Amino acid sequence: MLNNNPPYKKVMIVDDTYIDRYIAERNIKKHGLAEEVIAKESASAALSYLESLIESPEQLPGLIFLDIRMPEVDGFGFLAAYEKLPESVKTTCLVMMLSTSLNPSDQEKVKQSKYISRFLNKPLDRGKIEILLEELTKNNGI
Amino acid sequence: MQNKLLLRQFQKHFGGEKLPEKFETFLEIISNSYDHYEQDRILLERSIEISSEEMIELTQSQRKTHDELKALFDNIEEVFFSIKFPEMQLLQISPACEHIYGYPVQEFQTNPTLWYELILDEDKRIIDADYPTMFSGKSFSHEYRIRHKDNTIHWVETKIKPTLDNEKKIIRIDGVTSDITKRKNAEIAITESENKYRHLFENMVDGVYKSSHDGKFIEVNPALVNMLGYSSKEDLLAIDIKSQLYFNPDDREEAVYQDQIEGISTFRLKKKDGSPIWVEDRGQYASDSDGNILYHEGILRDVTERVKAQEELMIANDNLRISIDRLTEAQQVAHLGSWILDIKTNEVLRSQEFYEIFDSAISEFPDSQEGYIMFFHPDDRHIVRDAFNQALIDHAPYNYEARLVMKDGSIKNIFSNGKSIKNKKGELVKMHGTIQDITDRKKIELELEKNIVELKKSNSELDKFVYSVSHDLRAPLSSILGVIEIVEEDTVEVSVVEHLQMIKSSVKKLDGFISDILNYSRNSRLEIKKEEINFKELLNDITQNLKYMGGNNRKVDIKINVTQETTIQSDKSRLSILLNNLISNAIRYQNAEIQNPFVNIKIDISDTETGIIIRDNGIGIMKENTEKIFEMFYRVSEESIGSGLGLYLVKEIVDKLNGKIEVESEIGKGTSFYVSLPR
Repeated sequence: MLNNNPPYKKVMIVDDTYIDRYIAERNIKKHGLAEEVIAKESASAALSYLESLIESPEQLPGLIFLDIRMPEVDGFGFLAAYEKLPESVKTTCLVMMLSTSLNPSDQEKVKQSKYISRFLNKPLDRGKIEILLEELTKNNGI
Repeated sequence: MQNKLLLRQFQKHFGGEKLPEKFETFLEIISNSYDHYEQDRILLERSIEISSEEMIELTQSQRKTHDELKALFDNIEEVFFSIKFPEMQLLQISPACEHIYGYPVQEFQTNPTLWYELILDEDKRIIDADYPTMFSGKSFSHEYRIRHKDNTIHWVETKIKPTLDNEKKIIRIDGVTSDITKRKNAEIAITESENKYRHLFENMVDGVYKSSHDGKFIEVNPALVNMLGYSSKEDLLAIDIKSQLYFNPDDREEAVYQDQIEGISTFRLKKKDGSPIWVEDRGQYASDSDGNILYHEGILRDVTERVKAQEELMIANDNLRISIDRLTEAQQVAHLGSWILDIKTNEVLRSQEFYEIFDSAISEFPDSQEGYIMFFHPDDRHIVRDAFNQALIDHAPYNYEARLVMKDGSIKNIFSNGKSIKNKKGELVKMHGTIQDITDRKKIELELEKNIVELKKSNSELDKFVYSVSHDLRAPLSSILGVIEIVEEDTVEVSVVEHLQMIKSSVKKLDGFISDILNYSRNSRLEIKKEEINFKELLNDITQNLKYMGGNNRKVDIKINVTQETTIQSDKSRLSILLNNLISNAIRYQNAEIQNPFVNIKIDISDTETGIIIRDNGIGIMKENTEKIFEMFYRVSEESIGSGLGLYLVKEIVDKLNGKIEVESEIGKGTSFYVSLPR
């Protein structure tokens, strides 16, 4: 465990691949990024979850790891719906795009979206978690 | 006894008496003498008679001659005079003096020096100069002017014959003075005209010549000498015309006979230096009664310039004709018709092709603008009208595309352009322009657009395909890496860890390879897409991503130094890959034995180029390999993690962006890459 004091109570991972959800969850918990990890296997499932917590924003995940390529509704589709959610949700959650996509247009879209704070390449391994922690502590002054 | 007289006398006195012999002989002698005396006396008488007769005749004829002479003397126009020397007494002077001098004989007689006084002052010296000659007894003559009594000036000629005595002293002069005014005036006129002629001959610009039939100059003027490039008259007179003046000796024959026919002929001569001169010859030849040519004479004018100008004009005309033909051809080929409108007369001149395009006979073509507009598709008529009217106002060039509707209903696309021509005052005087049938071109354009759209579509489909494939290939790999790491963390068994390392490195290789293939495919296929580059941002992104390279790489100190004075446009994704590959290499090939591995990235942007330097203190590259590193699939060893495509791709990108790349390296010390990209 890298961090005994995880900066987040809850984070969410949205990815259609089981292994990737597994890896993400394990590393997040193991290296102290968050206490709890909500794993959703589709954009719609994730959106439903968020919608269910509109009334109780303290239960919303502080960080959402979003895979781009998912069947039916992909990462950008999620974002389109996410935009329609109330401000309270959007200000609480920090969305990070997670992908193996090399497509520059994807990266452009990510840049242009105002809800995505950064783009990460899979896998969400220890090294990446470390760097995230570094940045988050820096930014939050924790 | 012969003499009859004596005989009679004898017979009278002596009868027939015989005489002594001596006495007979004596009588004989006397008889003969008497005979002779008688004969002589008769002759003498007779001659006296004759002389008297003759004398009378002579005297008569003398008188006649004298009368005739006098008549001559009195009536001849010349003044005869005689002067006795040394008294200077005028012995006689013929009455003609009144005619010539205006003064009668008496005047001359009373004033013996009158004749001298009447001589014009400036001519008196002529007389004075000849005065001494008189005393030598030689005859002479001189011409001088006298002032007639009526004040007119006359020219006279005086012939003087002096008579000397035995002591060679002059005793008398006889002379004749005649009025030679007419002759003299004629002479003067001739001399003047000769002088004029001479002056002209010497000074005129055209050459004057006289030449013999066998081809030698007899007379030439300075202009001719000059014209033909000879240094002197003698020089020119010495040449053989046939061989030296003509390029082709036979030309002379032709020239001579052409002259006869046309009077003036133009032909080419050869100057002394061999260069050609064109001359116009106005000449003629003189021939004898048998028609044989005696000599040629005439005037030669240098018309080289004129001939040249004529030739040039002919050439220009030919060229013009050719140009016009070519233009017509070109118009045909290009389906381009042209027109010119004269604003004043409102007349329009159109080229052949123009009528072809409108498929109208020249005679049928409407005169008015409105008639012209009817050729166009109803929806496009306003375009034509507006363009033309606008041009009339602002005198600016215009162009437009519009459709014609042909007689058979088919549509032609035309491109029209027009220009205004103004005069010096700025008024519109003419308009001219072209109409081009672009139906074919339009068709092709539409085809092309369709193709481009389709191509873009298939390109983007290909892109999508490539991305999908790469993504789908890489996703499982990243999952594998993720799980490997988890296992690594959970296990302590060394052998397991080792085995996991091996799996990991293989997976990473495969992953890298897929990325590189993808990048390569995009680099070679896609066009350069320019956008504004912010290097600081770009490098930040790259280094952030490279931080996640993870594994056993220690933290490498990355220093970034960007001097960006101005904005720069380039292909962002390619630059990204280029920098990424170079920097990741620098990190990957760090020197494990040193404490402070670093990568320095320096970017300099100037007006002409962008310079990128990436320097590391890694393990370096062997000298003999510095060229090979850019080869496809080149890897230092089987152990290396890279795909072998990284630097190959860098080189491909540099080439695509028209740049240059160089590498400096030393084993164990480090490597520097220098990239320059033009703006």
